[in-house]
Amino acid sequence: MNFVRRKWALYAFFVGLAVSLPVLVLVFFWFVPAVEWPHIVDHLLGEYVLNSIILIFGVSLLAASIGTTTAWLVTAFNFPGKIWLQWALVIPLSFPTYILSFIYADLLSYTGPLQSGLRSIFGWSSLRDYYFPDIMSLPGVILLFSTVLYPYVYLVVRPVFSNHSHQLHEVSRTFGYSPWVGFSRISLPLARPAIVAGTSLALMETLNDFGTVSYFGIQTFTTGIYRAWGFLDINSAARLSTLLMLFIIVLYVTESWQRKNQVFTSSQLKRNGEVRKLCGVKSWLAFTFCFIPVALGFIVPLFRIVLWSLEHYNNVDLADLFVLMRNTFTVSLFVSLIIVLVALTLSMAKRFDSSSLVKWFIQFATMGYAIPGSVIAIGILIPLGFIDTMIDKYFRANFNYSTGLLFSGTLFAVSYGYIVRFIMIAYNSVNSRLGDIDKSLDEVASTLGNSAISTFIHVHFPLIKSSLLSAYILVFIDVVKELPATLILRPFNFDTLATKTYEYAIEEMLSQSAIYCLAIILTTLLPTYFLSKISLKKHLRNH
Amino acid sequence: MNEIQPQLSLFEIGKFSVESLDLVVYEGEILTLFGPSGSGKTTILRIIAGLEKPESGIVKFGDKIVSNSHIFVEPEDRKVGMVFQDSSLFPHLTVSQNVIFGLRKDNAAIKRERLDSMLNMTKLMGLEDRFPHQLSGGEQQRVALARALATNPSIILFDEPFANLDEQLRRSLLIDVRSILKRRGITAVFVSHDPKDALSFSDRVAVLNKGKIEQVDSPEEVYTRPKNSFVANSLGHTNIIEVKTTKKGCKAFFGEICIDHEFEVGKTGMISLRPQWCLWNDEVYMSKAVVKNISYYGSCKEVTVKVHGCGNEVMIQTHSHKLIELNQEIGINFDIPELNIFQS
Repeated sequence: MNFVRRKWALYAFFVGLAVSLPVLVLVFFWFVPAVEWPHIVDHLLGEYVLNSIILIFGVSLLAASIGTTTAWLVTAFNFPGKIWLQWALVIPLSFPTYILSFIYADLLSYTGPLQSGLRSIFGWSSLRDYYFPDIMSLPGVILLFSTVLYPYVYLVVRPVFSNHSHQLHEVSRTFGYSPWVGFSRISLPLARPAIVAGTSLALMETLNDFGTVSYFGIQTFTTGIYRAWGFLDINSAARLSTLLMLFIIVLYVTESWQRKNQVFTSSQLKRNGEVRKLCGVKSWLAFTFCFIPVALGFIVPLFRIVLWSLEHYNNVDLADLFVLMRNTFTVSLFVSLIIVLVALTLSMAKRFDSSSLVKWFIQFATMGYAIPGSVIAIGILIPLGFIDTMIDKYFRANFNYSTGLLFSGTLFAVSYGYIVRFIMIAYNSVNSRLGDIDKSLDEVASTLGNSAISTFIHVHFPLIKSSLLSAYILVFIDVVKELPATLILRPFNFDTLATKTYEYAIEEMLSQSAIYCLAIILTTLLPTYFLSKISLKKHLRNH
Repeated sequence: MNEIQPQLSLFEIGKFSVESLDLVVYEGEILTLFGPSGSGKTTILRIIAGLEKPESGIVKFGDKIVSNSHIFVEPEDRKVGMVFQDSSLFPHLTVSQNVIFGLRKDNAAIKRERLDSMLNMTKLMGLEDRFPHQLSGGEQQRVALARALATNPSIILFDEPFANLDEQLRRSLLIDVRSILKRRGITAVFVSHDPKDALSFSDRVAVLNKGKIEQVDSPEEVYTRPKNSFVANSLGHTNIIEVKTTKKGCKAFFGEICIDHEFEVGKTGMISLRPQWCLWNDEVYMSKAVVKNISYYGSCKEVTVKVHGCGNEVMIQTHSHKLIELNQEIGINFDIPELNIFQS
């Protein structure tokens, strides 16, 4: 193979290498002896694995159920409030999991408003008088995560339902099946690949979380990694990280293997049919079912935050808030742009060079999303620190001048971390749309005298515009919310809204962090609203 | 008068199932690549367009090499037009924008003029502002044709362009397209697996089988004088009959036929005898036979008969209004054009 001529493959190779470098660095630590490792294996690893598995099963079951059912209800039926719920169901995505956990931990605690209220109503004096489930437990984490992460499933599944359901449902109804049977026997099997894809996104977020599990005191891989890192046991931290990655790779491979045998295309099945109108109790049940996730994942916590903010707005340092907003915005807007551009060029590489080599490079380039932010941060700090030292050494020896830290602890390192972590979100969004465009359109364009670039500008770009915007918004939201990698990689004295919120929360000053929480929510809310509109528009256009 | 020049030549092309294939297409000619699926016809078309790179061989447009082991001209620089099976219109562009897609470098006046003439020619006036999803299948294919023709390509390639349309619409489109191509003197290569389309649309037909060309000739020649039984069978119902060569021609079960041939006298060969050349005539006949099966086609009946004496089963054709019954004894006569004897 003439490698140089294959520009796209070469490009994908370099991106793949750059993005997978932090991971490869960690793998290297298996070849270095780690003193504490046997202890971790004997006493802690079992618990990490078990808790992580329970978490994964719980969240996938619950998030997939909520996401799929709500998506089906809003596409298959008309009921009061549906128009509003259609986009409201996406909104919990704007809540970072850690903030939600802090809020619910407070709301449902013994001293929290709910239990205090119950006690005063029923005259109970202590916990001995009544039973109240503990939110700071594994089932509690599962419930909280599912409440915030189900929109990943909802967003992916809803377009599938709206593309398939009407005509196929009409067919199933002519055979005398009820909508429920139609749902379980037609819509559900057809949407299965989408459900699995959406759920796997939710799972990766679950495994990434550090804020909640550490706050709730639940031992998982991420807390284990932090603990080892905290003890300066870099080797064990790196080994645990790679084990977690292995865990995720198994999940990922299972998911893509599943999807391989499940390709449903339906170019003709796009005729719009009559959407069934629900009446009476049924319509209220449908509304309530869709409203509960929105209430739990957004309205209640927002209400709490607004209350806190109102209580504490006098203490807010506006100049400080302004700096935090500026930091968060400049970094997020800029890095998201870079991420979308890299994702776009990667999916172009896949389109123009469909060899398995390019596919492999892209696999490498997009694996960062499966890797927790903290792991990535460690993987980045080690090589960047090494490079900084080398450069410094060289300049000192030759020019008697110390360059100091050029890369580590700079915005470069932070951006690098975000790119590694979030490139897959942008890539998936762009590539699924680009992949949908029939190859024969490229061939027509080239027989009409267009080069690859010109084809891209005149054919692909107009067709994937909205996907690019979705990708940008998705990445932007995630970058604004990102916590663990930012905490480790940020320059000295550089704070974002997320890091500031976390700092207050761990110091049990939740109410003081409310205004920053509110800023994060508002910053992500608007783009989430647009995102929901785009995806709705897309599905309307398909009819 | 100038000799007609080859517009397109392929020498010893190899790719996938296609092996060492040679083919010449002349200026202004419509050539059909005909064969079953998997015979390599679409591969050849894509090699001509530059959408596939051949593993071996040379492709020339006129005198210019566009593909060999060192040179490969990209599809965008070949100036070929292509019409795909599934119209492949750009879904985000209107009919007009699709048609002028290949004219980006031209000025507005040229675009306008070309657009008008294309829409006129393909009878698409009034649909300029529609989007592809608002068009019928036939209209979509017309737009695809207009788009391919708008750039004045030196060669236009059709990859079973009308295969998804119903037969009536397909026939009328084929007639329209043929007259447009002929009027403008455009060289065209057409891929089809439908014998009627291939025979009615083309100046010459190349019959392909497993990546090899079995025969390239005019429609009459391939239909009447196939070079082997594959070609004979692929173009429609036929009787492959064993003959013995004689000095004048050959001897079949019903008598002697006069044909020029290059075989030695007394050799065994085969001929393809189309049902419509075998006639029911109870007064003047060469053989007697018994009716075994009758298929009604509307325009005719095809009748399978068992010939007395030799036991051969032969398919004959009669008028559809003639009454005929199973096991009826009939006389058959033959009205045979000049045939070709081929080896068994």
